[in-house]
Amino acid sequence: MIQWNQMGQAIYETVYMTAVTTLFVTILGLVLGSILFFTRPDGLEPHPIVHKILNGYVNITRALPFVIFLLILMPVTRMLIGTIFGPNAALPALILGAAPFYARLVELALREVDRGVLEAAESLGARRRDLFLKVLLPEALPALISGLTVTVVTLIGYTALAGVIGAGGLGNLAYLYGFQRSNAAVMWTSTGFILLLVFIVQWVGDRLAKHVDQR
Amino acid sequence: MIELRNVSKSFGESKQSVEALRKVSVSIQDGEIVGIIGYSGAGKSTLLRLLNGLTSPTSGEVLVDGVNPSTLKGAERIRFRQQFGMIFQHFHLLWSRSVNDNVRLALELANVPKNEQDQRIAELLGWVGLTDKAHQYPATLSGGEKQRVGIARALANRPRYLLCDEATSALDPETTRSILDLLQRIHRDLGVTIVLITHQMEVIQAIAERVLVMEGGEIVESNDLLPLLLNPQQEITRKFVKSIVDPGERIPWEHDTVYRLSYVDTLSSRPLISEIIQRYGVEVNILQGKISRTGQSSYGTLYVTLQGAHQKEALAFLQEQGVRVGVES
Repeated sequence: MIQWNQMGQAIYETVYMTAVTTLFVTILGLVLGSILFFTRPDGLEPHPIVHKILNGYVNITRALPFVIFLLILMPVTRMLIGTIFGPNAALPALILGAAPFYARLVELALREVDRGVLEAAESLGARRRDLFLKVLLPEALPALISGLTVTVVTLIGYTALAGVIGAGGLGNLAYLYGFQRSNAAVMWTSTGFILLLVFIVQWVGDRLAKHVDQR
Repeated sequence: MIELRNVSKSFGESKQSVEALRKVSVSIQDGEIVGIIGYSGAGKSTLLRLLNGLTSPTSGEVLVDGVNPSTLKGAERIRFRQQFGMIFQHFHLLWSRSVNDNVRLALELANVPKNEQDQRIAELLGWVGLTDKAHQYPATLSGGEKQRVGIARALANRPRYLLCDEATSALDPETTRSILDLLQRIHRDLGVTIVLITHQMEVIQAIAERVLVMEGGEIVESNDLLPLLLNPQQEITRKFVKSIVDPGERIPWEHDTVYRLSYVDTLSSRPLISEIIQRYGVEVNILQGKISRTGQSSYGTLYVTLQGAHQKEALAFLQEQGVRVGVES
């Protein structure tokens, strides 16, 4: 009833989409989130215009249901990737959808860092770059990791949703073979693998966050 | 030498701005221990942060050996700031770094070569008595130990000035004592000028050589420690002094005049009371007394009544010997 090579291919596609997206989302989220943090009105380099624009982008993207976001982005995807089917076609929407989510978590994580510690570093002669690399990032690391964990878990959900509209992966398998062809075994097995992925990510994230936390 | 000339500092937008400092002028000599006391909101923290350029004045100027930090940029500003070490009430250590690496942060920021860092760190931790905790993380340390790490970090780049921002306010009395002893050792052995702000008169008494009293963004009184303790001028200063000098409950006495004798060292080094008893044939009834130690000397207050024909002469003799005589109502 279950074609295991098909299942294997679906698992691979889901992991592939999640991994590539995570890579980009981490970078984009860190950059965006840090800019958000620095340009805040009460931040270290206040810049109202930059902050408003980025903040607006983050808020709007996060407010849009991801499935709508997928549909809106279809023309962009076709232009960039050349097709709207397959795992690669899901990447632009996944990245653009999840990066603002992580950016917000990055901003929050950085804001959690004690202002007094920043002041202490400044009193020792830290420049902005030192503050960021030597104080903010290391001190926020556990929160950055748990934020990324939450983001990746959400991402796995997004890949399943993208799968339903043609991106491949476990979501696609569960929908096309499991749901539409009433193959319960395929549906539950795909779901099981999705859950397993989520648990693994959560477990690794928690362990990592705990490992770097010396508080 | 640090000089503040007519320094004002306001925070916030023009309409709702809060004036933290109003036209403050003061100078701090090299080698001093200056204590700044005031309640919260008096402007102490702002004043302290003006010295190392963490904030800039709204008007007026700060001069450190003639250099105005507001005019410095980039690397010069950093080098200027590294003449100052700073320690804080809540220590402000990086929990993500071990004790060693917290001190190392100061050296990294001053671009001290890697091969010199370890030796300097070992030296500093030895100095503050934390050699055995070098590899622990701040979360595992007690408050006093955290402050010692803070001190090691602040001294890492051999600053000329040490700024203490309520450095003992979060510590218990015994730990406070040991940190103050350490600060005194730093002052004595390294010749570091210390500026400390506090709301605790005990701290001022224990360590300050000169005291500035702040209220409402102004320095309302400034004097050397002993004269300030013995002869406070402003109401707020009296309150602070009373918090440590007041001997508390006294036997109520309504029969005759109660004299308040305040003195520095004198009575503890010479038996003046027995001298006036012998010389002037007065009887001395001591109602209450207290002796306190400052960093350099001791001073005290005695409440007495006198009986006998030569009371006036006896009091005059005490005054000649440097005892301040007051009448208690």
